[in-house]
Amino acid sequence: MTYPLLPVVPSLTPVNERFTGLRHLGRVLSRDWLAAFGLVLVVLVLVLAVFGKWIAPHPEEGAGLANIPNRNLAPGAAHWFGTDELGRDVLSRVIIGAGPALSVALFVVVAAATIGIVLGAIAGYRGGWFDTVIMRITEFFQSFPPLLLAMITVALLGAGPVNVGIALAIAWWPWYARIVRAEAASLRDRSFVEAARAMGVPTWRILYRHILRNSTTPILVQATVDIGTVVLWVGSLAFIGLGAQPPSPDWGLMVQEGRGVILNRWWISTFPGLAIFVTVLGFNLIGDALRDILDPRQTKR
Amino acid sequence: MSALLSVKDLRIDFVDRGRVTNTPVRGIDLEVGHGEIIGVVGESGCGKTLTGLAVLGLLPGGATATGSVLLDGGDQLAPNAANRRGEDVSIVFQNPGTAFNPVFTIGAQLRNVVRRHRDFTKREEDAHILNYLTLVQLPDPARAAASYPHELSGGMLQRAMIAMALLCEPKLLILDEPTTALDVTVAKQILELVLDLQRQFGFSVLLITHNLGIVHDICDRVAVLYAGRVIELGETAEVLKSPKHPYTQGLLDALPGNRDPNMPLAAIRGTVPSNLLGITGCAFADRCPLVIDECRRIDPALLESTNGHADACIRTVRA
Amino acid sequence: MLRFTLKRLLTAVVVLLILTLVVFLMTRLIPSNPAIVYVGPKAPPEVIARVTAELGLDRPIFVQYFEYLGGLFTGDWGNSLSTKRPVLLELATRLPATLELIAAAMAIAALGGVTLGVLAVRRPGRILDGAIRFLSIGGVSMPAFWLGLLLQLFFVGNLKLLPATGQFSNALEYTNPITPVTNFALFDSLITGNWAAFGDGLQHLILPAITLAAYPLGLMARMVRSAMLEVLGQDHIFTARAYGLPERVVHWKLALKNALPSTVTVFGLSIAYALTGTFFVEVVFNWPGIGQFITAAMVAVDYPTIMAVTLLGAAAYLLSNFVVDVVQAKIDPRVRIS
Repeated sequence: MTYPLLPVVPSLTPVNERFTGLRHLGRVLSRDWLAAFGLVLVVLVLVLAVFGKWIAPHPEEGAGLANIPNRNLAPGAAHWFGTDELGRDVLSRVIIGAGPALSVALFVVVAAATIGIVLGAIAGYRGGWFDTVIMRITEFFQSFPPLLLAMITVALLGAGPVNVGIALAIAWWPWYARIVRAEAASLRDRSFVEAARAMGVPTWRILYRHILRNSTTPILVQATVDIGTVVLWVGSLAFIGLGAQPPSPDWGLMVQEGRGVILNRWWISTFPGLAIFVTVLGFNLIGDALRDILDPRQTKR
Repeated sequence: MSALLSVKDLRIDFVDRGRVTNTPVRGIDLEVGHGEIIGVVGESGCGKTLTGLAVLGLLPGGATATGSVLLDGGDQLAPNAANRRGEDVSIVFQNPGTAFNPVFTIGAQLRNVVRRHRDFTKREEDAHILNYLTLVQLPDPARAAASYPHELSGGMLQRAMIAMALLCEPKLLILDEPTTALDVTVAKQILELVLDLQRQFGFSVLLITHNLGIVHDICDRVAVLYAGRVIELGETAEVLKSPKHPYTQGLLDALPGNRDPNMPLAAIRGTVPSNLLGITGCAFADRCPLVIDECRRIDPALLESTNGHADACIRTVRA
Repeated sequence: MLRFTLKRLLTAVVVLLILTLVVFLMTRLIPSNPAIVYVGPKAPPEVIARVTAELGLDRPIFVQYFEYLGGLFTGDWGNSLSTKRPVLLELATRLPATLELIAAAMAIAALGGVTLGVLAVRRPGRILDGAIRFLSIGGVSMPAFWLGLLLQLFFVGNLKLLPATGQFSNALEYTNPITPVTNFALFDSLITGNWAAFGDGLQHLILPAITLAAYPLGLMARMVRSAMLEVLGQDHIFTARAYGLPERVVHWKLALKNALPSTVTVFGLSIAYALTGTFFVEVVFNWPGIGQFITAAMVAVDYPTIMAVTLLGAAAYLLSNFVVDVVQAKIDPRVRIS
């Protein structure tokens, strides 16, 4: 005789506690010192960006005013980061540079996210030809190195910080569109969305309440990492002459200005470059920790 | 005759940052003789798989074992147990579809094992692998060796897994739910193959399962586990015919074939406690139809009543 | 396989066609007049008018586009507005140096990234893992042009170990000239047995290659680490351990091969990145590749060059994606390309 399978009594497995959003961020930071370090860096840069004018020892030199008698001073008590070829205090230049760097980055991310969210949400929710067209366009954008795309766009639009912002936003929106589109498409047929539709809730309201709110976390994570990357790219474009023009306190431009004398007067390039590095590193460290939210498979760190 | 495997007071704790969070195995004693087939049965979460892994000498991260597990004199809880894994003791897992590495051929994976434990030339390795793939009655052993896992059926993969397990002539073969993921007919063939090979080579088998039917079909003895303890142990026929412990009784009653077909199935009420920390008294007390006050106070020991048949219930009348 | 290749080729052609159209239209819609770029802003109006006619800029835009398209297929990609020489020639003579630099950087990135990624998962969450995580995130956060300057400062300025700029020492042209075979200078010096030149070239290559490798190395280390973590949790890894296979084999042989498909994807992406990253590195190290020429062309709105770069970039991207897919199918037997 053979017994059939024994009826298995389901055992209760403890369900992992789930954390979302800010609470999760707090938890991540408290047990992850690298992410906490990233947060310190980001806060530091944000403080400089907002209060730079009052923190910088020579704000007018920071903005570009030359001070020829003080030119090419090595770092010392009077000028911690030394002075550049026009006698401007490098520390002040670096501090004043935080504002423009972060505002361009913020503009790019907000603009790209807005375009991407709107197009992605409509594409995913509506489906049909609109979806096809939008997805083809994003694929087209993504079949090209994004920094090169931005460089070409700036080259054609003409150098300058505003055009850099526009070019980077153009290069970036498809990534957001794809995130939101995937979310919208997966939610479209869920019962609560159908119920809302059946009750006559207007489309924009469904999009806002059910679809956008569900994609907030991935978008925020993406935006955090992107701010860092945009700062890096803005600096890179300025370095080759496609971004801000002298005498703007742009970090990339400042590295370029000291490039020829790196072996003689190292401080002119080193400190602005360090500012870019620190900013990007800060955002990347936080973004890396936040990725746990998106990808719970990798929580065991 | 000394036993091949001797497990004494095995406890397994899960520890997180210095704190014990659960104790899924709470003092197991078990002996397996040479050439014996023993079944370990119980619900999911009763500690049967963890016990199997402790015997193998490989616990999952965060688990620590105390007590002793001696396999032919070798300490399986010692760090050097890895040298005996795959050689003195090997294991066949539940799901052959995921137990093989998807990006290596079956032959390459068997070769890794041979290479780890034997000092063969490449040609000897090939012959050895082919020999064992033939032994498990794979229709085309050479082709099977050259195949990737996704190219073979579940039954064929399980045969290949058994071949891998036997490659280095183990003294003990652990089968962890070896047929659960397979069709009924394929499962039957696999079990017949194991029995056949066991008669041929004489290794011992530790069969972990929740299926009393399989135990009945192939096991000499059976150990019933509940909440990390052996609660009944004895000859298979004896235990299945006259269970002593109310839990074993409940398991048998829950089998459809044992009941009047017009009566509803008698499932054991309640569930296994999800965490076994700080249990006092009998762990089955809350679900037991025969529970008395003492059950919650006295921790029942596994005691022999009749010849080789032992159970852990304080209400059992012993001679 | 053939069908797959053809399908990809067709997609690539369509993408490139649309791309040329978009960029071409953009070059015509921008405020700056290419003719002025060509002759310089101070040229008298009649000269500008003559050049406008010479360049065909006065004809309907679609006629111009189709002429350009025709030129693309016959190898006439137009003349650079700044050097007045054929764009294709300008790029072709510089490309080998760039490709040598990218190849060296990607080799460093692949070796370093895989090594660090595998080492990191040996004990996840411990000090080594943390250090590797910091290093790899640091790598992707580092502005390449700044890293290049730092390396120059340290290895050239302080230690005086390595040359700062260029691909070879200037004197080499007279003492040990390289016989061109493939036009890949370093490679040629190797196959012609010109050891002096080869050693000199290697010394020049080290710093720019490391600079260019920093970003892809960090990216790959992160990717390998997370792919390895995922694989190490799978059943078959447990099987390997259950059969006594040592951790060395489990990590470096078994798990790594499972982690390779996602690693290869990132590697392909990194190559495309390196194609852009090399512009900045070449500027810093005065490397005689396409980077300096292209960045200069962009600042000068040299539109034939910009068009060519666009095509080059897209083609490289599509090609690397294609190669990635083929390699993936080679590694993972479950993947069938069709």
